[in-house]
Amino acid sequence: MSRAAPVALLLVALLLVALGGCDEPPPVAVEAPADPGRELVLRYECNRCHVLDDVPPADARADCVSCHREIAAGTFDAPADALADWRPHVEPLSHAPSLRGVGRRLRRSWIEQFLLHPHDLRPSLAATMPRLALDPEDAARIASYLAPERPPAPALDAAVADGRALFRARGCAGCHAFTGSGETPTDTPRGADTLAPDLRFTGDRMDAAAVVEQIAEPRRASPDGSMPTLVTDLDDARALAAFVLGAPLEPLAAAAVPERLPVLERPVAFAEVEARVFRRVCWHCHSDPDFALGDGGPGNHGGFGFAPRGLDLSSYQGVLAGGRDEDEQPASIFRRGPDGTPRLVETLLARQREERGEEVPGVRGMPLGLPSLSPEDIQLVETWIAQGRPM
Amino acid sequence: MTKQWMGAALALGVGLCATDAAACENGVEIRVVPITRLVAQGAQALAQEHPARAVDLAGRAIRRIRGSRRSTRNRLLMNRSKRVLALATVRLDGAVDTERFVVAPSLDAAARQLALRWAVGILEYAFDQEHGPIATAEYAEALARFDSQRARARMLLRGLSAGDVMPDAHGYRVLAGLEDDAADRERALAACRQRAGARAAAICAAPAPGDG
Ligand code: HEC
Ligand code: HEC
Ligand code: HEC
Ligand code: HEC
Repeated sequence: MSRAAPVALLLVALLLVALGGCDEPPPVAVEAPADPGRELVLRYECNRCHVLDDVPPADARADCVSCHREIAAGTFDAPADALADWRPHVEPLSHAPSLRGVGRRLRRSWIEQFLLHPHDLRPSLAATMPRLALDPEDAARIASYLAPERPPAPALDAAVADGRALFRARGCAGCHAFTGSGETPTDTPRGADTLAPDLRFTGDRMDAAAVVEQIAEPRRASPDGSMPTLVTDLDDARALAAFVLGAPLEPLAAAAVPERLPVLERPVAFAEVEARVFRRVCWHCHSDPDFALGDGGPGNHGGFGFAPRGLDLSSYQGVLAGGRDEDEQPASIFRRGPDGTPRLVETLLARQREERGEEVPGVRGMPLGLPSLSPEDIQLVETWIAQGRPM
Repeated sequence: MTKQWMGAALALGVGLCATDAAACENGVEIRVVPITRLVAQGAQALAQEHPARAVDLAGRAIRRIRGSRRSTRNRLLMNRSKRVLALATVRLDGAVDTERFVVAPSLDAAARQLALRWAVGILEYAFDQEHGPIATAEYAEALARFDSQRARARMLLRGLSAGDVMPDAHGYRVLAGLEDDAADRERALAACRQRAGARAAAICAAPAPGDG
């Protein structure tokens, strides 16, 4: 191999770029020395939903939460009638917690476990953290990158009962659920207020010092947050923290998985399933690449660290043609599982379980990280399949 | 430069051109970019059994893209428009003027053969690019028009049927015509009727190209 080869390599590459007609010049990225956790955050594209301290935001065309929020706010560059039609549909993924300063708030060990087994933290936020294809080592590396190990915080010497009284007096339940504590939400949070966590999980996530800081100095604890400063007296903040961390909690009643409805008698054609399911939710991640500047979204070309599965749910042909399995071989989404349930339906049922804190081994719930379909919509899909998937 | 280095350069060049990740672009692009909408409508017309309308829409799109600047979007849409046009040509028995991109019912047999050959070329190129079930079925549907290619078309369609990834009723209809065994033929026709639903009479009962 000659010494000139690398130069020639670059020249040929640049020539190809010039001839190939890229829309934009290639980005020239100058990265800081690589932290393995930061590399993983980039690989799993956490920045498509979260704001992070030391990681640039995702490309505007890839950033799920920012784009949806711009549409909701009317600042996205599109005709007014399009914005008006879209606005009601972008709500499910318009908010996600900012991860700036997350290491000051959340325990490293909790983050690690949450990445591996995400569960719903915010009852009034439609989206949940998706179940990514993370292995335990990757989760540990990401958690150490996001949150430094801290010395244990001293315990609080404040009374839980005082905290409960303050909790009611200051109207904390206007934004926060505190499931199992005996306090019930007094309002339905909207917009950024949907990011108020269910305080049931706070004891697992945060230590006493972090909770006091969040209550007394919310902007310092959560620089991008929106919780108002309702308490300036430090003793009050400590009492509230003692309540949040020490309130006796009822065990959670296992929420029943909705009943699976029998298939319908009436004929169901594809157009109806498409309108109610595939084009309402699924095609946003499972797009036709020809009409998406070459990228069919996370469920087709890959994204969030997932391998490309080649599944286009934007048309009849795409749905029938299926995707690819782990060995890159074509795989029908109608292939039957152990009990005869088509794979497509298995993913929809698995999402119902994920929402209730369960995981179905070997099946990832769909739609990924978003509210499960209603039993009636799943029934529609099942009916269409049972009738031979008519066009 | 050695072959390996050429390969590396090619990979690098292609890599630099890769588009950034995206999502929801189907909803956004089809709604706000007129040329994308036009091509998507053409594809939809074909999927909904209106090949003549598909020719009209895809033809308009091709003329428009030819007059505009090169871009990733336009390259993808040009390829897709040609695929739509090619498959519509197959379904219209070659009655398409493939230079002016219009339906041409008065074309004689020889001209239709030429149009079908053009269509096979386009669909073969798409098939060579990715081998996915949709490209495979479209290519096989075109191949079935040529006696010499029936065996190959049958092999491709049987593969899709076996994997349960046949993209629509047409694939089964064409396969039925290519099967020699009566039971195989009936099985393919039954699948055709299931997929075609309310359009079974139009799609599955009509004679198909390559019917043996
Ligand atoms: C598709 C969007 C999406 C992606 C991608 C994503 N997340 Fe999340 N994440 C969410 C949402 C939504 C929540 C809020 C969940 C809830 O409240 O139930 C969340 C919650 C979290 C939380 C808890 C934060 C808090 O304040 O409660 C952490 C930590 C987190 N994500 C880390 C990550 C990391 C690390 C990655 C990349 C490996 C990642 N997320 C990728 C959507 C996403
Ligand atoms: C360029 C802007 C943009 C980006 C980036 C974007 N979206 Fe969207 N999204 C939209 C628009 C516009 C709609 C509404 C479409 C409609 O109403 O037809 C939407 C709607 C949705 C819906 C439908 C919600 C429902 O239930 O009705 C889902 C799901 C969705 N997006 C997921 C995502 C995910 C996941 C990402 C990131 C991987 C993403 N989007 C990135 C623009 C965007
Ligand atoms: C207007 C809505 C709102 C009200 C009222 C409110 N909070 Fe919050 N709270 C939030 C939001 C949003 C967050 C997420 C972080 C942020 O935005 O600062 C949060 C975060 C917290 C957290 C961190 C919990 C965790 O698990 O991450 C605690 C603890 C907390 N709030 C306690 C309180 C207490 C105590 C009160 C009453 C004094 C209160 N909040 C009132 C909106 C509110
Ligand atoms: C937020 C993005 C997103 C949305 C919305 C989404 N998907 Fe997916 N889907 C994915 C990703 C990513 C994968 C690949 C997962 C993997 O490899 O484990 C996938 C994979 C699949 C698979 C293949 C499963 C398998 O094992 O073969 C099916 C089926 C599927 N999705 C169906 C759906 C349906 C139906 C909907 C709408 C109800 C939907 N998806 C909505 C992202 C999404």
